Amino acid sequence: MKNNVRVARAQQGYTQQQLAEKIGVTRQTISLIEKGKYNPTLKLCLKICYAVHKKLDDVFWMEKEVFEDGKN
Amino acid sequence: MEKIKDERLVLQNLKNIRTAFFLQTAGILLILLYQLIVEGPKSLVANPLWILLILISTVLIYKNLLITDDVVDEKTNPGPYYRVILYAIGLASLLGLLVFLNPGERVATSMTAALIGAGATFVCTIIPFTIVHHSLKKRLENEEG
Repeated sequence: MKNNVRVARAQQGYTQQQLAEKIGVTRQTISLIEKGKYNPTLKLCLKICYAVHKKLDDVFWMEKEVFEDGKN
Repeated sequence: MEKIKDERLVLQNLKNIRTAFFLQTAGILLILLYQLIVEGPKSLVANPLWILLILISTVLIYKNLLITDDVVDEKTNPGPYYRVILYAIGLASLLGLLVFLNPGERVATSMTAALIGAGATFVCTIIPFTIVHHSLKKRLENEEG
């Protein structure tokens, strides 16, 4: 599913590896989340948000039309 | 080996275990089928793999009982627990009586056969009924709470 993890991470100046270490996952998982190929649990979403100092809405929210267009 | 903490890898690990489980079960079934064809049913039930297969199936069925409860949409009130015990006793008595009237040739007396039959029916009934009863009760509590 689409998200803004890449942008939020870049704004904090973290590499994928640094963010991964901060929240206790592998770099590959961060990469897959950014590409929208892996849907994280709510717990992991929150961990990401805390790490990049953003709210859940800012990082993971998407409009209903975008969500329902079947491309996510 | 390091413990996996990454949720994606934990999930992948579970999927791998599922694949291995399917393969293992298919292997056991093939071995038992071969034994059934070559050596006959008596040899089949004497094989420890048969007990393993029954054990695995039983565990899977019991675990799935809890899942299927959630699929049912109605809010079913399970009623008091003594009713479950009464059902089990009723069914066990009925089967005990049937065995008493037709005990077969393997046991010493009709009473022994009846007791074994009734006991087995009671245990096999009370366990799944209890699991479903508690599961329905818990679900009702969660929906009310």
